[in-house]
Amino acid sequence: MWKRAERYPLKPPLALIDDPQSPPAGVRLLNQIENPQAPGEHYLFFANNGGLSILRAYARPDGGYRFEQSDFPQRFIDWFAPALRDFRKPAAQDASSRLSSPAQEVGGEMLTLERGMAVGGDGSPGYIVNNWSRKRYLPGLEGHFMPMNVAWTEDFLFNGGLIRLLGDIRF
Amino acid sequence: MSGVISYPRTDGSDRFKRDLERIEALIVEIEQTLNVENLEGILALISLVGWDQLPEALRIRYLGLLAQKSRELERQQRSRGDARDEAGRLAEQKLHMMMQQMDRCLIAHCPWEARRDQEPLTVEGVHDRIKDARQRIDDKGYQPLFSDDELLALSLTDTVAQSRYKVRFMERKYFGDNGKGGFMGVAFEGASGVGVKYWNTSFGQIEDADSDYRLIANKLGLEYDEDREYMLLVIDSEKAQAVCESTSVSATFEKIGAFANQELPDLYPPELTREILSPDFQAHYRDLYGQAKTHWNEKWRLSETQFHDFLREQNVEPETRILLLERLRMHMQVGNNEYFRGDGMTANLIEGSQQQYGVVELFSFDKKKLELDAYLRAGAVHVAQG
Repeated sequence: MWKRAERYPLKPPLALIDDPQSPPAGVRLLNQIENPQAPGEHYLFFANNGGLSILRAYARPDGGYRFEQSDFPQRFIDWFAPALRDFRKPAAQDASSRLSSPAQEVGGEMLTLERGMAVGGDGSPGYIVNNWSRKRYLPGLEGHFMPMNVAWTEDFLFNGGLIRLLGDIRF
Repeated sequence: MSGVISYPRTDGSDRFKRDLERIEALIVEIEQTLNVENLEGILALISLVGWDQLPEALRIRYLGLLAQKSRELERQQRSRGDARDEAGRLAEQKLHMMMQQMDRCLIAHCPWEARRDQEPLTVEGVHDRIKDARQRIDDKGYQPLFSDDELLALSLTDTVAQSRYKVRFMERKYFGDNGKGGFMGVAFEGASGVGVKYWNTSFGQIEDADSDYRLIANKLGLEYDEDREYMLLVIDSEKAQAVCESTSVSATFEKIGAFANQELPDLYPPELTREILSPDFQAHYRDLYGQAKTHWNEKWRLSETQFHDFLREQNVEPETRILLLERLRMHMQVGNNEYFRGDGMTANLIEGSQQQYGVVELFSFDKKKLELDAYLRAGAVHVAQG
């Protein structure tokens, strides 16, 4: 049975943010935004004990909110916009992939920036950042490595104010 | 007594065949050294002799060779950046006019079945072939250029994906204001669901439908709606590369799998794509993904966590959950959604036609979403006149 192994050494997990209203010690809300393309979907950015936690919040079918936490180095904030600008340029002839950047070390963690053709649903393309140094923990799937990631549509990034908001974040 | 040795008389066909072979060998040999002036001279000489004086097979062969060479010269001009000065621009124009002449010769002197594998060289050639197709349909009715077996065979190759001229069929409302606010590949409501995909194939795949939107829609597996306004865009894929890098792949399990293996090997190794890209697994994914979307009341997409929560509630085994989550990731990244058929074909809905398949369908991948206006200004997209 196929399972993915880690490519890089994993970083120790950051503090889990169960309740954004009362975050654990060392965790501070930096900024937040609602995705205008998907009303009810919010992104919250936290400084988390020297790292960056991005929470995607959305309504549960039975009421209340569900939070998905993806962790990155704080350098992600300065790295993302220039990396995206470079990625959108035509690739060099010898580029190994047209859909993914090579893994880059950012703040001591290995990140890839990738194209996603249906990030916001069918016909709504965008970009994905995978963090190969941090594992998404899903109960029962411990032996399989899934990188923590964020996936944002181009509309959200460029028309929905996300790029601007990321530029405004200060630690 | 003097003897008479007699030889069987021949009709000269062997000699003729040998001569043809020799001519072809010489043409291939000199083709390597041809320049624009040589092409011009050859075209002028054959026109003087008369294209119709040549056997049909030779006409097709010569035009094929000349077309191939002119394409090569065009690429050389572009890579040298000839258009940067006046002389270079004139040289480009001269070559373009010759290519238009070749396109016209192909239409005038080669039967359409024989030229189906010979792409037009220019966008003007595309428009002329659409007009020619109209005339043919008026005279003889719709006749498919490719049989089901031929379409199946084509879907297993890169021929359609690598063709120069692609077409996209869409509702005019997605075109925006002359391209402003309009996009390539806007989601569409189709026979297999809402917002499933956009229809993207090579010009050669829809040439037999000319610009009859009902025929095109039905060839693409779509019901034609008289109340909707449609349009057909012709894309010069080489020029489009200068605006935005793009790659096309036949929409089959095998081709999409190979593309993912090559482009994103850490995410989609062959051991994984073999498991998740098959008709049975696709049916399983479609079923569970649809249920999970309903469960979460999601109109857009499901995240890994949302899908995983649902799969756990349904007591799906961990091994299968892994595969389903990876298939979800591929859906988000590559765009092969829950309705993906994986056979690379659209269903043929043309009334009275016995064919099962319409066209070889392509998936396209580009690095950024650009308004159609940018492609129109670069001369990379043209609106086919219906």
